[in-house]
Amino acid sequence: MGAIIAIVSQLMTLVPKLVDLGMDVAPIISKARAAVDQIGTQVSPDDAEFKALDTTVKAWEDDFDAALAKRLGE
Amino acid sequence: MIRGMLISLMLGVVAACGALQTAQAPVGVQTVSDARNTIYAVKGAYGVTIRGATEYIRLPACEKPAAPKLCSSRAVVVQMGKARDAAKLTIDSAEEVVLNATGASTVLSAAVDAAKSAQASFKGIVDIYGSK
Repeated sequence: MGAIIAIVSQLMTLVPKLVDLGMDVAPIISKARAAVDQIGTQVSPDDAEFKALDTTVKAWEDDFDAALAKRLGE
Repeated sequence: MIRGMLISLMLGVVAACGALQTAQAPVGVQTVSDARNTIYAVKGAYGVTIRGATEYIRLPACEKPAAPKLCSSRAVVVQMGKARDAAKLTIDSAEEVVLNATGASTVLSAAVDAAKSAQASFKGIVDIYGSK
């Protein structure tokens, strides 16, 4: 997937600018990169690969829900 | 300034997700294989969008006194939650249709199109806060 490479490339282009501004971008970048890496590069995914992606996305959804609940509860 | 850069970073990721969908989606899904590839890519893009949204939500609240430059707006967070719910419902339904499909059909194409639109709408929420 060329687009996966495009995502990483986009991140790498912006990171130096953020660092120059003195911002600690490590947590954001590492999580974004991990997310991209976990998508995988399969062109013709089989059922097992769909299941693996579903499991990964489900974990991200749970994380999103937890963050949302905490933020709206403040 | 820094907030703008962070927003640019997130928009960059989401924009790349849009490119991912475009690159993977043929003009009109013809086969089950094509539909599976597209749904897989859409689901992945949805996941990346979720990660970006989560990072935004975890920023300090803009409404608090002396909020830092990097902060999250409650109104935007609420919209993100609604958009995520709509996207999840549509994408999961489309995935079920595609994984159980036995042959090309208009229903298959419609399901894939709906999933792509849902992901695009979710992405649009990021665009909203990016413009502020």
